[in-house]
Amino acid sequence: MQKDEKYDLSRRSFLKTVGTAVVGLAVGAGIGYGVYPTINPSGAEKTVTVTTGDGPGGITSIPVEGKEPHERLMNAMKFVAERDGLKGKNLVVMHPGGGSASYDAVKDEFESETGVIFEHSEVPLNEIFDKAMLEAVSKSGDYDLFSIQPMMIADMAESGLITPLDDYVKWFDNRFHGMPDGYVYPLDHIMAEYKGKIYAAVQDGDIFVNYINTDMFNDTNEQEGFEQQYGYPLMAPKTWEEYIQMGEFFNRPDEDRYGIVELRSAERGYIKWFGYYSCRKYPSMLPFDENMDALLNTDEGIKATELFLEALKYMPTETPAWDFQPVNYAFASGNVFLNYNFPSAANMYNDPQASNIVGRYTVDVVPGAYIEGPGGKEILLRRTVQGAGWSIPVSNYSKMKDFAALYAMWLTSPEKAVIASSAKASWMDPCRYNQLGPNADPREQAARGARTLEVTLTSAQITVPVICGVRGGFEYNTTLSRNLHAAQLGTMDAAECMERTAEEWDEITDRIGREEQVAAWIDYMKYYPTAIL
Amino acid sequence: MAGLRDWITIPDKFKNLLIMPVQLTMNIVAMPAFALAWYVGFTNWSPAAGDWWEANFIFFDNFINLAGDQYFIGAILRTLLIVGICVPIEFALGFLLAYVLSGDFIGKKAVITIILVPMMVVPAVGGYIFYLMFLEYGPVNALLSIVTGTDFRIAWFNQPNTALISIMLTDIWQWTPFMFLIFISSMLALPQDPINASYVLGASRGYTFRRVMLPMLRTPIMIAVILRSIEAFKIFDYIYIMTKGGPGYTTQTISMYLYEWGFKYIRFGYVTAASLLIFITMAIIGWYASKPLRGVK
Repeated sequence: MQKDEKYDLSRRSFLKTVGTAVVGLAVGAGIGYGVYPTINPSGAEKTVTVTTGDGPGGITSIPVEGKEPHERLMNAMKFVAERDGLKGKNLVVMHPGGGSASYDAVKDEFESETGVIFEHSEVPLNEIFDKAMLEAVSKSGDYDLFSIQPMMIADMAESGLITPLDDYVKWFDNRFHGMPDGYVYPLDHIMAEYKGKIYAAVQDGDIFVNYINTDMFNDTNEQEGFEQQYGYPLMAPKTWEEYIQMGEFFNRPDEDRYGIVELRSAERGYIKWFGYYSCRKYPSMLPFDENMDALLNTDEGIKATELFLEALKYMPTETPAWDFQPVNYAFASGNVFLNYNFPSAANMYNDPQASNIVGRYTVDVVPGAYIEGPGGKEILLRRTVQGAGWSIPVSNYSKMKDFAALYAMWLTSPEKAVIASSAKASWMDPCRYNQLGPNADPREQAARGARTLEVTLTSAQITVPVICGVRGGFEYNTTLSRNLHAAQLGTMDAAECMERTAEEWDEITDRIGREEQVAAWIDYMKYYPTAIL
Repeated sequence: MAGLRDWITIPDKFKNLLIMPVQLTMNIVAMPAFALAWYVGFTNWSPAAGDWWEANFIFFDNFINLAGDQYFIGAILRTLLIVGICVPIEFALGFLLAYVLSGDFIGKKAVITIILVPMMVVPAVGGYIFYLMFLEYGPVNALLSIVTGTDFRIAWFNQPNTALISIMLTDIWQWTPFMFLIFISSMLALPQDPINASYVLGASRGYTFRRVMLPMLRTPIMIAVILRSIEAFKIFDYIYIMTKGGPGYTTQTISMYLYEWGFKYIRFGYVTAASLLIFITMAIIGWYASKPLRGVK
C-alpha cells in the first residue's frame, strides 16, 4: 500500500484509529450505563408514581392512632407506606457529611417498621445550601428531606423548594410548642418558621454555652495570681471584658496553654460574634432597625467587634483556620481555660476516649455587658446565640411528601429526639423541654451532663438567632463572617469591618427588595429575647 | 454533483466534512444554553425569587454593577497575579528540567515518571495534601524549623500573603510537570540535522540552543504557555480546599467569586453576566495571544 506522505497516515491506520475510538466510546458508554444505577440509586424512583402532596383524601384521611407523638407518627407512616406503595422505596435525606449518627440511631427501627429504606445523601457541610438550592432549579424530586440551617429556610421557602408543615403539625400533634416536651422557646419559631408558617421540624438546638476548665479554675495559686493581677476574684466571667482578662491571664503559649478557644473560621466565625454584640443594648442589640437598615456601624457594633478581636489574642494562633473539630480537640486537650461553644461539644468532652477533661470542666451562661436597662438602671445583660443548628424541611418535589413530613416529625419527636441526640458522635443538640433542664431525660444527662443541660435551658431565655427569618440569610451571615475573618487577620480594624458589612447588608436588602424584607423582619423581631438573668 | 465530490476528494474539504457532525452536535447542544446564558445575564434571576423566566429583565444593570464591584475586580486582579507569577515559574522550571533531562542517562524513564506524578494527582487531592503540609504543625513549618534552627510557626493560611504563596506553590508543584512534558516531548522530537550541523560548524552549546533549538521550540512554548495561562485563570480546587478564598477575600480568584456569588448567594443572573464578561475578555485576549500560532503548519 502506498503511503500518503503529506499526511503520513495510511488508510488502514486511519480506519484502525477510528475503529478503536468507536469501540472505546461504546465500551465506555456501556460501563457508564452499568454504573449509573449504583451512583444514583434513587434514580429507580423516578419511574415509579408514588404520591404527591396530601395524597387521596388529604392529610385528614391518615388515621391518628397512638398516645405519644412517635407512636402516632409511626402508625401514620405505616399507613401511608401501605397506601402509597412505598415499601422497598428509598426515603432520601440530604444532610451534612459526618452527621449520620443521629439518623442511624433510629434507622433500623424505621426501616423494619415501615418497610421504607432510609438513604443518606451526605453533602459537605459548606455546600448544603448550594445543593439544596440547585434542587429548587432542577426540581428533580431526588430528595425528600433536607437537613439545613434555619438561616436558609426563607430562601428555600420563597423558591418553592420546601413545603409548609402547619397542617401536619396540627393533625398529628408532634408537640411543637411548650412544656412538657415541645421545642424550647424560641427555637420553635426561629428554627422552623418563615412569615408565620412552619417549614421545618427542629433537630438541633445549638444554643451556645461557656465551658470552663476547672483544673485551672480551682488551682489556688492561679486564683491568687489572678486576683492580684486584676483586683477581683477568679469566677465564671460575667462580662466579655472579664472573659478576655481571664483569657489573657491563662494564656501561656510557651507552656502550650491558652486562655480561650472559639470557632472563628471564615465560614462560621460570625456565630460567636452575635453573643458579643447582642448584649450591648436592652432588650437586645438588633442587627437591623425597623427599616432593615444595618445597625452594625454603631458604637455598640464597633465595641462588640473590638472585644471579639481582642479575645482572639488569647487563642491558639491557628484558630481562625479551625473548624469544629480542632476547636473541640483544643479544649478537650485540657490546655485551654475558656471555650464558648455548642452544647454538643460536651458529648466529646465527656468521652474518655476523646477527651482529657472528663469531669474536669464546668459549664456556665455566656458573659454579657453592664448596660443601661429599663428605667435607666444599670443591668448585666447576657445574650447567647442560636447559631448553625439543623432543621429538617420537606421537599416540595418529593414523590412521597406525606411520608417525608411524617418522618421529619417522627425523627424529631420527643422520644426519638432523645435517642438521636444522645447517640455517640451525634451532632444534634437537645432542643425540647424533655431534653433540657434539671428534669431532662436521663439518656441526655448521661451524654452531656446535667449541668450542660441546665445551663442550655437557662440560656434559651437569652438566645438570639443569627440572621434568620428574611431572604438572603446565608448571604448576610457569610458577608459578616468574611469581614470578621479579615478583621481577625488584621486586614481591617473593627470600625472598618462594621462599616463595610453594614454597607453590604444594606446593598443586599435593597437588591432583594427592602419592602418585602422589612415585612419579614418585623414579623421575626418579636422572637428576640427580653429576659434579664 | 461536482461540488459534492469535491468534499470527498479535496483533502482540506474532506477534513472539514469529518469534523462537521461533531461541530453540529456541539452547536446544537451548546448554543441554546449559551443563548439562555445571555438572556439570564440581563436578568436579576435568583432561584429564591422563582424560575428564570419569571426574573426581571434589567438590561445592562448587572454589567454596570460588575464594573463597580470591588470583589469582582479584586478577584480578577488576584487571578491575573496568580497567572502572572505561576505560569512563568512553571515555564522556567519545566523548560529547565526538560533541557537537563533531554539527554540520555540511566534511569531516565523513572525520573521522568516521577516528575510527572504531581500532574496525575486530582487537583482537589493536591490541594488537600498541601493544606496538610502548610498547617501550623505541618511538615513545611517543621522543615523550615530544621533548616533555620528556630521554632518556625507560621500560620500560612491566616495571612493574605502567605495564604496566596501556599496556593501558588501548590499550583507550581502540580503544573510544572505539564510544562515539562510538553517541552521534553518537543525537544526529543526536534530534527537533529540542524543541531548537528550547528555543532559541526563550530557553534557553542549555548549558541546552538539560542539560535537553532529555541526558534524550533517556539510553537510548543506558545501552546504550553497559552494552555497553562487558560488553566491557571480557572484556578479553583486548591483555593476551595486550602483557604476558601480567605482570609477575608484575599485569595478569592475569579472562579471562587463565581462559585460564591452564584451558589452561596444564589445570584444566578449577576454571576452569569460576570461569566459572560470574562468569557468575552478572555476570547479577545485569546484571539490576540494565539495570533502567532495561526498559520503555523
